Amino acid sequence: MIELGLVNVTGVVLRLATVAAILLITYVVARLFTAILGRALRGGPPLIVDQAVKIVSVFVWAVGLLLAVNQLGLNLDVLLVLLAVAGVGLIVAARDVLSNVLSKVFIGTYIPVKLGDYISVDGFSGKVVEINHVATVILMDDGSIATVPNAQFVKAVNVNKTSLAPQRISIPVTIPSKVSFPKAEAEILKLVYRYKPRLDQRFPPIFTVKNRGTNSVEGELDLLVSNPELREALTSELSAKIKELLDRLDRDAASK
Amino acid sequence: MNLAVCSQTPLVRLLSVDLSSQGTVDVERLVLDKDYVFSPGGVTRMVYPLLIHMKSRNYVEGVYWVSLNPAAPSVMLYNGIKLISVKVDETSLKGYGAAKEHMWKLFHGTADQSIPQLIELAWRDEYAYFNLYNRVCAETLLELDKTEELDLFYIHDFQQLPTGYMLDTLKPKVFRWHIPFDEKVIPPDWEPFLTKFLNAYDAIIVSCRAYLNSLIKRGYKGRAYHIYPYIDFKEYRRPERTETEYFCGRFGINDDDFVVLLVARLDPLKGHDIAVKALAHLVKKYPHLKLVFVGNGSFSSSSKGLGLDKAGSWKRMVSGMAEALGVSDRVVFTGHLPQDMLDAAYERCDVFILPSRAEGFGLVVAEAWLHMKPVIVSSAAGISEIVEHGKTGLIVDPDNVDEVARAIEYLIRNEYTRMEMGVLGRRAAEILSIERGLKEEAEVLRNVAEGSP
Repeated sequence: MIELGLVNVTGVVLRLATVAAILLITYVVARLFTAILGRALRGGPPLIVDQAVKIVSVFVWAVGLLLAVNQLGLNLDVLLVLLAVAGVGLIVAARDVLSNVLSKVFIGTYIPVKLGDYISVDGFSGKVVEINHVATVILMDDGSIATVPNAQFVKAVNVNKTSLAPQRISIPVTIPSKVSFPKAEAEILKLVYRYKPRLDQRFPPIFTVKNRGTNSVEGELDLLVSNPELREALTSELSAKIKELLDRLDRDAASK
Repeated sequence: MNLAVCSQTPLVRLLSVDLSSQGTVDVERLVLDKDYVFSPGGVTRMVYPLLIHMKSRNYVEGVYWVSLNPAAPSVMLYNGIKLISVKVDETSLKGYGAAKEHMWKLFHGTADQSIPQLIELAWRDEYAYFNLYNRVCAETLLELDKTEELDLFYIHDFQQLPTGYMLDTLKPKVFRWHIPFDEKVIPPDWEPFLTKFLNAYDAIIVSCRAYLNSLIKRGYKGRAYHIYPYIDFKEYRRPERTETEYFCGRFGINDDDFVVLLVARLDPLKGHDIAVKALAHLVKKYPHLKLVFVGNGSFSSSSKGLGLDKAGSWKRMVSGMAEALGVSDRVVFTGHLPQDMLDAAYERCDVFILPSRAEGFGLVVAEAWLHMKPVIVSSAAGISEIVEHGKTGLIVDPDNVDEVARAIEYLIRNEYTRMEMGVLGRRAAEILSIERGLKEEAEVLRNVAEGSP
């Protein structure tokens, strides 16, 4: 009896020690993952970065707790089902926000809308005063504000009444920090100058910085095509050429 | 408040010493006029006293001067101001210089047909380098902001216009446009391109009322001010007789010469050729007439600057013209003069002339007024706005050599008018005093920095 009792106590202590070790490792991994993610998304919108970091932290803790519970010899099936339901619920609850965040990527490049444009979307007309990661804010003619979810620009027809909108091209450009930003910009401009005959010559290209990260500078090259029908073809061609140029500059910088 | 000034012109230029490889250099340990010179030109002569004035009144704490200075050390210290040198490689510098010179001519309305218009220029490789220079300035300012927590960016002159647009910060930005901003030479089709850059600034200061009106007409929507350029009257004094005699002896000016003085850098815009042609009209009738040109090249002309030999080629052209017109013995080029010699030149002259084809302002007219001299001023100069024709000076059309010659002759023949104009001109100069200018400009900067209306 005494022997059995000793075995049981040792087993329980060992299990508790294992659980403690798992929780400690979970804590370290959660901190590590959130730190890495926070650093990687440093340039992003703070609200979304904050949420992403929290989700990753919750996920790591959920896995850690499952492993810990498993060590205690409890049945995991019910817990796993509960977690799966919670995950599906989270995705369902956040699907609108996610679709708006994803739609933002298309606004400006494939959906020709920019700050200052006069647009009509989903029955609302006015001047675009803000495009954030969730919604586009329109200042309407009567002075009121309409907040249109970005996903509406993908789902619904929108009309841009700005005179030059059909000609406009905005090419997103990411310049790695290894490459000299001023020099890369000058090379990009010189490359674009060669497309002058196909562009509206009244509007020389202008590069605008949108975001500065530790690893790169993100910006946008604004151009106007002479023929609106060439918008997409020219966007694709110029984007590819610029990428090629930046890859070459990146290689050159690395070889130095 | 921490203030960063950005201008193409450096505050000081090093002469003989090569300290480019050194870290931080204290300029005050060097010898003025031997090791370094204070850069000439309107920007430095106005902005430096402004900074000292603002520092002395505790309006500013940290003051930084970011400028193109390829041959200088990266950081220099001068009278409490941290000078930060912007360096770009030779190819880029050459392209930048070419684009800048084209723009200079375009904004002064003196570009011939071989010069591309502004929008056309912005599609050329030179413009990519012009853009590069501005980007390097903007990046330097943004880096400085990270360490020094700047409160205000003060950007100077047309060649730095894109810098403000490139400063992607919400901190206030003020731009001072020093050259003419004349709607007559800036066509409406430049507007979309120009306003994109102009409207990146919270406030813009121009040199006279006419430019202010043009700026607003061409679509600038922010706060706009006109502040007349200004000079420190204390820097000008009546020279001793011996100093004036020395000046005359050195440059071959006789007692009976009637001296017409032009103080300007050697540049086609300044109209040295117009003065020579007017001289040729008059010299037979007035054989003692002598034309004295004071001035040299600018930072753009200097070998340690952009290395564009504008001054040398213009001097050769004007000398050749004087020779061809048979008046070369009546024309004197003094080159750059130190202040005491400049005072002597003003003192000795009978009439001062500024026949510029275009002129941002023309503070040299105020200098002549301080020496109580009658002035003949081009209608294309900003300062003509405050010259009262027939009272404080004569305003002439620089394209009309006959009119310029008639104005000189009128003053040769009317000694009393010359004296009267000198007296009235001295009074008119008061509006250009440094005290007034500093007060107005410091107020604008403080209001913008503090977000006051």
